[in-house]
Parts: sequence; structure tokens; C-alpha cells
Amino acid sequence: MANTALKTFSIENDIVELSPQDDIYRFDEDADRKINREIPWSKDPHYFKSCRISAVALIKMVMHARSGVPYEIMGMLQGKVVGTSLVILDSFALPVQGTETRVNAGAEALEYMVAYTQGSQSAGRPENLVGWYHSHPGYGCWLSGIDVSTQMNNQKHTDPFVAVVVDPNRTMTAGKVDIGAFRTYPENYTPPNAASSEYQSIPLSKIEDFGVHANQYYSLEVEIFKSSLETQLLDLLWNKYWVNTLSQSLLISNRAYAVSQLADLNQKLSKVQSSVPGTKASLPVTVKDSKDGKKESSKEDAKKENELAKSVKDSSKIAAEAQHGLIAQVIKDVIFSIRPGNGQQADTSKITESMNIG
Amino acid sequence: MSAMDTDNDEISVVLPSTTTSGLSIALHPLPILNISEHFIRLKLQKQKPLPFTLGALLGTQNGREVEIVNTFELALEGDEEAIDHSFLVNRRDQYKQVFPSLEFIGWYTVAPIPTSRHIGLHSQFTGYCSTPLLLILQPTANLVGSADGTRQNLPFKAYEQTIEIKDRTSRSVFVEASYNVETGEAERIAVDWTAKGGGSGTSLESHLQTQRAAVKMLHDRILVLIQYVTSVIAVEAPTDHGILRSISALLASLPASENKTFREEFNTESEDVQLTALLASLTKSTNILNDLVDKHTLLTASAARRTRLQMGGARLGDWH
Repeated sequence: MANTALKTFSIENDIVELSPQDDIYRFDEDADRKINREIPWSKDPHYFKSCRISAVALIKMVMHARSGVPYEIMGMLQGKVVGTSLVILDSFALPVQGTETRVNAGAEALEYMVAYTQGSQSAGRPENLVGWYHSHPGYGCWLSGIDVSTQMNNQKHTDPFVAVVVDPNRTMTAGKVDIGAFRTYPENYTPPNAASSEYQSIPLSKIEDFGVHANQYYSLEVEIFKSSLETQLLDLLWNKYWVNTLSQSLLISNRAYAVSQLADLNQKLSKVQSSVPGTKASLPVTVKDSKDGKKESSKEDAKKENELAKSVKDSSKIAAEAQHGLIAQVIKDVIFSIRPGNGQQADTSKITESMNIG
Repeated sequence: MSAMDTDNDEISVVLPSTTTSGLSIALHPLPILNISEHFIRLKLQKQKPLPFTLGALLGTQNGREVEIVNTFELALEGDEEAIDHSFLVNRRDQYKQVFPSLEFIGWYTVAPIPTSRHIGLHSQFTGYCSTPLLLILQPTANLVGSADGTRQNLPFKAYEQTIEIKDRTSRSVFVEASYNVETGEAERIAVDWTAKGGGSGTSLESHLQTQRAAVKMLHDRILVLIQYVTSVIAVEAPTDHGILRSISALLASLPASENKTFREEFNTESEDVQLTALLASLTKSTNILNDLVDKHTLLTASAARRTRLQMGGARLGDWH
């Protein structure tokens, strides 16, 4: 009897204590109401600096995006505002069938959204909708013209709102999740300095759309968070799925995408071919030359000649990713195919070869 | 025994572990993380160490093979004994619209072991699915690291319902089913990335690190096998012929890729990759060459212009 009593006591009091990192999951109604009344983001277009996404929301988004390839899919995000960061706690998918170039929410999706959020309230998820996500299968994380206008609309009527974009194809090839969070500037607002973001290769067909609207939004820093229980579970999970890490082959699973990337690069290069003879080297800008006039012209020259340089970057990226896949294959070959004492020199030399590129 | 029969909570509704279910269950990481997040959230909301968590499992079932892919939370009506059926139906249909291939295949909760209360709840789900599964998260079990860290189990258990006939009475009981963890490639990458905290590093570095971690696990497992075999040889451990047979089968299947067609495919693939690398470096050299030519033109042009100005002549340059 004493034994069972002790057990019940320890069960009730021995549960893993909530560590401070779990506090983010708590929904504080008062704080939420307060910040929704103050609306600090309406005064400062650059108010939100970062977007924190929970592990669960992220994985659901990636799975949804992956299941929808080659179509664009769309869904909503639930969460709250904490300081200058938008915290995303959960995501759910919308039954919108996107064609390959545009995704828009129709009446059916709005109904679904409302019904789902109402249901969530009763199931213990009281957070509000704070954003939407959609996928760009294979062409990177940025906002297209339609996305920009959708988001501007959202920010006008249902702020605080964030636009998240995920690319399931790039996720598969790069081995890490390709995701971006964006907020648009309100109309007629020019950002103080056009900060150049990290270069990403955009397929030829989309490059116009990308360039035209690139200054109408800015990207938020993306952070992932998880609870202490999830951290422990993830460690345990690794014990189970390390087999999959070894057995899956990047080269095979990404074949179609790699081929399409090469075809796109080919098109870009043939375009570049016509402009190469016209490239000029830019004069190094010395101190006395830096008047505005000279700077403008050299910037333009820099843009023109960068077409070929951009293609070079794209091609090195493609080659590097293919090398990653090959490295994995060679490692497996060495582990599983070498017979002891047979002096398989050929295989080990393959490894050194593949490591030398790039 | 009879004293315990009167106390409801003491009758085990789980059959002893000698009987196992015949289902083969594949559990994805997403349901695992979903359930833990739901649990933490309720803990915070209700400020109880063990709140009653309830949710539904989504997945596919083909005969005896079950795959659990996703989950969603369920609401309870009133006094925590009846499920809110309308909510369940609505949510299930909503998920059906977005993921038509997933079906309702069971439910989950958080508890140390299943009790008769769970039997009662279980019967409410039979209307939606012929043989619903029960997945339980055990909140206190085994979360502390074990000594060598290789043989740790997830604190989840899966149960199937069955009828036990004893003393001419039949009652429903749960029988434990074993499960494997399966991931799709995208899911694995996402889970891996969140496990590392979502950071970055050069992609080569992180790729090699993942490979190294996986190879290390393989190495550790092999060491365990070697240890077992040496102890059998030294007559320290009981010889289990089943294990020894499987080890020898494993060894016989190595080297794994002596097959001729495999070799050809492998070589073709590596040649393709190296060709891509060659083309990439060709493109790079073309660009550098173009750059060099441009700079040369610039230098010589300005030099020519300067000499022309100096000469003051209108001599037409036939440089270009």
C-alpha cells in the first residue's frame, strides 16, 4: 500500500518541471489584449524584427509543402506578438488548390479558416491568426507580385500579420529547411536603404517578378524554438531515424529537380551569351571619384556584367549540392563494400577526388 | 487478488507483455512532437502537472500495416467523460479536405498506463474507425539519460483493443503493439534542422556532420554486436542462435554492392556528378577570363587614350 502511495505521489509531483523555455507556449490573454490595443507596429513599418517559429509549426508547413509539389500550397499561422517578434505556435493547411503560379484564398478557404479557428478555441488553442504561409516549390523564398499585394492587404486589415514562404524542393537538396518570413512596407513608403539580401538563385521565368517587387518588403530573421520535452524527444528520435539518414540518397530523390535546375541554368547561360561581349570592367572607385555621377554609372556596369557572375554562382551551387549527394554515396560504398585485405585503393581515392572540387 | 478486484483502478486493462498485437505500426516524428506540444500547452493553461490530454490520430491503415502521420486535438464535453463528437467530425472533415489520403485511425492521451477509463473512452471512437489505436505518452518514463545512451526508448506506447475471455466473462483489454519510427525525406530534414536549433553553417560542413553522426551510430551498434559475440565465445553470455543466425546473414550480405549492374549505375551517377562539377568550373573560368579581358581592354584603352591626347593627333586608333 505504501508503495502505491509513493508511486502516486511521485507521479503527481515528479513530472518534468516546466523549464523557462516552455513559457513561450503560455497564452497570456491580458498581454495579448494590451498589445493589440497599443498597436505599436502601425507607427513603425520596420517594427517587427524577427519571427520565431515553433518546431511543430515548422514541420507541419514543410510536410504540407512537400505533399503539394509541384503545386503551390497555402495555409494559416496561429500565434501571438511578443515584443518585436512574431511568435508562431501552430500552422494549419487550407484546402486551396494552387496552380503553379498563383495561389489565392477564395470564399471556401475563408469559410474553412473561420470554422477551423473557432474549433481551435474549444480545443485549447486560443491563439489568433497572425500570418499565412505558402510554398514556392523550387524557386526560392521571396514574395511575388501577387504575394506582395495580398500581404499589403492583410497588413492593412488584419495586422499583425506575417507572410512565410517555404521551398520544399530546395529543402530537399540543401539538407536544411529553406524558409523565409516577410513583411511588406505600406504603400508609398521607401525604405531608408535598400539592404541587399543574401543572394539566391531564381529561375529565369520568375526573375522579373522577383526584381520588380524586391524593395516592397523586408525579411524577418527566422528562429526556431522548441519545448524542453520536445528537445528530449528529438534526441531520442535520433536514435531511431539515423538509419534513414544513411539509407536515403540525395542524388536519387532530387533527380527531377536537379535536372530542371540544369535546364534553367542552360537557358540563363544562352541569354548571357549575347550580353557578354558588351561587358566592361568597372573602374575601381577612388576617393576623389566618388561623386554621385560616377558611382551611378559604375553601379550599372556592375549590374550588367554580373549576369555571367550570377550564372557562375548558380552553377557552383548546383555542383556543390550534387557533390554532397555523391559524398554520401561514396561513404556508404566504402563502408559496405570493402573486403578486408583486398586493398581497395580505388574507392578511397574517389573520396579524395570528390572532396577536391569546390 | 480478490481485494484488488474490488478497487477499480487496480485491475490491469493491459494484457501481460507476453501477448503482443500483430499490427506493424509506423510512427512518424510529427505526431510525437504534436502530442508533446499539446501536453505542454495544457500543462501551462491548466497549471496541473498531469492535465487530461485527448486527441485524434490521422494516418493510413492497410490490413495489418498502420502508419501514423499526423494528429489533431479533441475537445471534451462537460465532465471529461464524453467526447465532443461534432467537433471531432468537423475537424476530421477539415483535415480530409487538405489531406485526402489520411484517415482517422485512433486516438492519443497522456497517462502512465491505460486504465478502465480509457476503455470507456475507446468505445466512443469505434463509431469512426473499425479498430482504433490508442497511443499513450508516458510523462515520467525514461526521460533521464541512460548510461550509454544507445538503448533508450521513446516514452510512447501503442495499444490495440482486444477481448479477453476469462472465467466465462469477456472484457475489453488493451494489448501492446510495437512500433517503428519512420520518416519521409523532407520530414527527416525538417526534424533534423529543428533539432540543431535551426542554425546554419556552410552546407558542406552540416552535411558532413550529419553523415558523421549517422556513421557513428552505426559504429556504436556494430561495437555492441561485437561485444555480444566475444562474450558468447568466452562462454560468458547465453548463446542465442536466433541472434547469431541474423548476424551471420548480415555478414554474408556484405559487400553490399558487388552486383555488376549496381556498379555500372553507381559509376554513371558519379560520372554525372563530376561532369557537373567540371562544367561549373569551366563556367567559372570563362567568367574570370571575361573579366580579365575586360580589364585588359580598359587598361589598354585608357593607355591608348592618354598617348593619343599626348600626341595631340587625330590619328584614328585601330586598336579595336
